Amino acid sequence: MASAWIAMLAMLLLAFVNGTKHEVEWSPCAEVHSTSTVVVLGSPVTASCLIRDDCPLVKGQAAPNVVWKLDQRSLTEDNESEGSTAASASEGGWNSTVFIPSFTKTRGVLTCSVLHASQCQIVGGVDIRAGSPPDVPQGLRCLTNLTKPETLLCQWDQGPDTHLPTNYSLHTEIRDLSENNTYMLPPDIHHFKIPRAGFVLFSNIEIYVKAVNALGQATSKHLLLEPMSSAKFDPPKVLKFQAEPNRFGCLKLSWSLSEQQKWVVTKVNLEVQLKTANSRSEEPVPVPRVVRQKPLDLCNLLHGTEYSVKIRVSYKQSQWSEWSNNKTGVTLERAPNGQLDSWLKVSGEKRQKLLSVDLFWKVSKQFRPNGKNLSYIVSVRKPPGEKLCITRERHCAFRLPQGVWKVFLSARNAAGTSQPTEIPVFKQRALPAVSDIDVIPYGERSLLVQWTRIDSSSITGYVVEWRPLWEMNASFILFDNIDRNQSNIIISEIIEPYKPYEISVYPRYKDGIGFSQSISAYSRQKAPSIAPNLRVWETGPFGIELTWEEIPLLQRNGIVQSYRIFYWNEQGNIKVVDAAVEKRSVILDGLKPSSNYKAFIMVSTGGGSLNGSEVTLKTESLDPLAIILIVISSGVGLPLFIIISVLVCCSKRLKICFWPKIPDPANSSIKKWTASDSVQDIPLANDTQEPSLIYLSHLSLLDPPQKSLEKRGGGISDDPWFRSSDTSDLGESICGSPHIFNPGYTGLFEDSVPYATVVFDSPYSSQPPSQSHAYLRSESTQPLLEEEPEELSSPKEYQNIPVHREQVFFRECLDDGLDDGLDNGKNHGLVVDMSFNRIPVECTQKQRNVGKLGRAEYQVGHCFLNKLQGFDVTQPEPHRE
Amino acid sequence: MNTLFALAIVVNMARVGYSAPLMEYSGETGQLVEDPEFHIFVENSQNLIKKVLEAIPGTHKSCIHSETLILNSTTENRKLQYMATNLGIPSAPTLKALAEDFTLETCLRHMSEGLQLHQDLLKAVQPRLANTENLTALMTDIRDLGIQINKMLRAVQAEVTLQPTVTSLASRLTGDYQVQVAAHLTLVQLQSFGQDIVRSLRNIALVNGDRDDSGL
Repeated sequence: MASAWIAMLAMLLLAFVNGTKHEVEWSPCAEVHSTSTVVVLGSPVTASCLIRDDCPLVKGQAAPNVVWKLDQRSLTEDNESEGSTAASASEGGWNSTVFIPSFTKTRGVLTCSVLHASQCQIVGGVDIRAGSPPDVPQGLRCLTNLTKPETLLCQWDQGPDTHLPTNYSLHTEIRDLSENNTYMLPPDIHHFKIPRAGFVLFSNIEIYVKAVNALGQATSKHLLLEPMSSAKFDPPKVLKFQAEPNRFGCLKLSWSLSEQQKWVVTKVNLEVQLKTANSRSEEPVPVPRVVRQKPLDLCNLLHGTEYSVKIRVSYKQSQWSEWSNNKTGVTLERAPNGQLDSWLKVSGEKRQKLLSVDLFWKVSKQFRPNGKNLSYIVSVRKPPGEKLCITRERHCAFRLPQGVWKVFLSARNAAGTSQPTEIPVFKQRALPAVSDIDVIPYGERSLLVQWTRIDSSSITGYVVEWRPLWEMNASFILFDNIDRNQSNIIISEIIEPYKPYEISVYPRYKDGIGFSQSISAYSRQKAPSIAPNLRVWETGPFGIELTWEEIPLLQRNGIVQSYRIFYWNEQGNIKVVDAAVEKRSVILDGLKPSSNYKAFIMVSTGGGSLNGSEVTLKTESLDPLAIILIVISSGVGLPLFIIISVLVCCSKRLKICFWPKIPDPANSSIKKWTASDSVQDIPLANDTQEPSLIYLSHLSLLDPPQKSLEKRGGGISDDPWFRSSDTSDLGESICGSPHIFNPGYTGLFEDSVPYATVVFDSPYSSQPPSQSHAYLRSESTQPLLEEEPEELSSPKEYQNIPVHREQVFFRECLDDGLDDGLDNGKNHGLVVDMSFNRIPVECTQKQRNVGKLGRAEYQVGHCFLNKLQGFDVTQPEPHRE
Repeated sequence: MNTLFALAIVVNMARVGYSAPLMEYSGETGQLVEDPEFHIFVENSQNLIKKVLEAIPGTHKSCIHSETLILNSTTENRKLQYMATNLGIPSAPTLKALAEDFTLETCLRHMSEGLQLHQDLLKAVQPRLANTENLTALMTDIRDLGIQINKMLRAVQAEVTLQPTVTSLASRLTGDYQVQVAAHLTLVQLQSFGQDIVRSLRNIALVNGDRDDSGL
């Protein structure tokens, strides 16, 4: 090995000496040539290596051993796919060639080496680059910049990589100038700014790009444009935006182009964006115009409204500039116009002199406030009239005298008052409610309210009213008036997820408002925010009663569907008990005395559940004394009780002794019907069950007052008792009674007064004619009570005042019309309103209505007799809702 | 000779920046051009002359450093009449109301010649001035305006023969002061001539149906 190195060094030294000697004649040992140093990627490459005979590396060899390499990889005959070599003797030396069928590298060095003394020496090489000819430049576009220095910026897409240096040149031709320009660009730059002298603003210029590399060239499509039409202007300026005197609905817009573009005095495209302060739209509708730089009027605007304006410009087909600055202006005010949608609710007793009225309103689609500071006036007469209220709210509560049938609502601003909207005042009427009200969440902030339409020609529409349940203020109540043919509506105003709302539907009739149906609803539910805390109410040895508070309304996040108590003993035996939602208490029974338990509550809504905190419970221990007492009492007391009972039953004497017979006025027949009718109503006040109604058709005094007859000289036609026709057909029960002309009848000062009534088991009007009715009669020695009609509450009026008239008639609850009353009583299980000998009879009516989502409203119908002397009538208790 | 020189000064005084405003053109005696593109050329010219007029003060400020050479000073400029004659700055062609003896073609030709004149004068002083960026832009705008005027000339079927103005200005710019005065006087004269062009173009626009005031 060492000898080989020495030999090589010697030869190099010899060569150096020879070289020094013949410096001019020096030539390389070998020369490498290829067909091309830049080739198309993937194309074949052929290279040759000519090794001179006098090359010291091959001296003495019969045939030099030549090795070709592409970068570090050898190209041998064994691997023909990469390249093949061949060697032959040629004049003056040896020629070795290599053929690479596909040159796949973008750049590679091909070297020729000679194997000498087991060492490979490179004698020559060639650098080969491969790539592709340039693609046609695409996407040539130019944009004129009119800001100094003015330029015409042209750019084009980069295109695919050619792997070779590619030079672009931009060519322009201006025919009006007969001038051509070529701008050479540095390699791989794809844009160029043509200077101002290189283009004429209002003359067409033809532009194209040429791409050139070692493998070829390509020219883009020619672009013909007028530089001014390709200019993107600077954002214009809004100078003024204000109303002119007496120009209603108009605002004058003064504007200009930017300082450097003010010279454009001809028409430009102007786009105006107007937006009101209340506009919800993000993208206001543009108003395109072609104008010069002069003030222009923008008209057909809303009165008294603040507008925000911004503009942008373009020239012919050029790009739009950026938007200008914003400027606001307010149009001149005018009196409001258009109708207001309203919803008027009357509450309070009709007998009261003043009605309580809640009036809500909202602007209709046609309403135009035409001003900023809007207030509303409610008046009894058209303004100017007596004002019930002046408010900026959209709600007003006031008291209205009986006999007022309409009120007027008008809007007012600084410029004037609108035409009043006439609102009829419908007194409360017993008209049917809608049925099957249902509320379905409709997105996160909307509710779909549905109901079944009322099939009646007197229906004019519906009112859907909704309010947040956690707000007691009436100003939060919203409403919508619905057409009679519609049976659903999507409400979204103020609706938020996880919050409760009450939705009511009222039918509107021609002559009044019907009963409402209400329902509570959430647009979206989730688990409650808090769980109730369990509290021990009562503890025993075998059970524990737990109670808990209701979750605050805003923390429920949904309708509570269940309370579930999980409890377990020390051994971990878990038991579960469900509690009724409305009770909020539960008894854990079957527990062991003196044992520890743990429990927690799980509260569930329609949107999820939440577990409460764990509580530890302990049952009481059994008391030995209590056990003994229980055993003794059950062992001794029970037999003793049985013996006494048997003795009492067997012995009449004992029975008389203990229970002597005492006359019981309560067992009179009149008491029976009183008890069966009026008292029967009383439990309804305390009971939430559907009332079982008994229909009282008539109450008669069977013996008319003789004195009264005598005083009238026997003229019975003047006495209300004999005006049987006034009481409709029911009067027959009076006229037909044999006691009517009983001479023994002396009115209130007589000892005994007979009473009778007819009791039906169904509404009067629905009874078949042949049905026999219960006819009860009774007598009482007690004088009839009388009282003055006006002063019902004065106790003095009950005493010793002669009866002026006795009359029985029937009326509808809370209604003046006799006929309507009977009819409506039939429809609603309504019991009659009675007036009996000026004895007031109170009658209220409600209807049961159960909401679907768990909220219940009870409206129960019943009547109460009150202050009816001689009857044991119980004062009614208020309803529970 | 002296009499002639004095006369030349008087004539120059009437032309260089102090030409009386043209009467408002009625347009009744103008010529109607049927070429539909003609009114576009008029509009383009209106834009460009406005651009030129707006550029003159800035150009003057960037090129003229002498405090006595004030663009809109009538008093000072009167003192330069002799220099104007001495430097050989020709006066601009006359522009006046269109009339039978001053046709649209004549008007357009005068505009074209005047623009060419000022273009050549500025070209003569440009190599001797510093900060010529604005001046170059102004010359480009004048070139563009000239193209539009020549298009109008072609539209009225007149032959356009553009010939460089024969001026000896370049040879008379012996010192910096002369260069400054020459540039100043050229800009002053161009401003006056430009205002005449504005009026002429408004007249031509009126004649050709564009009643909308350009706002110039």
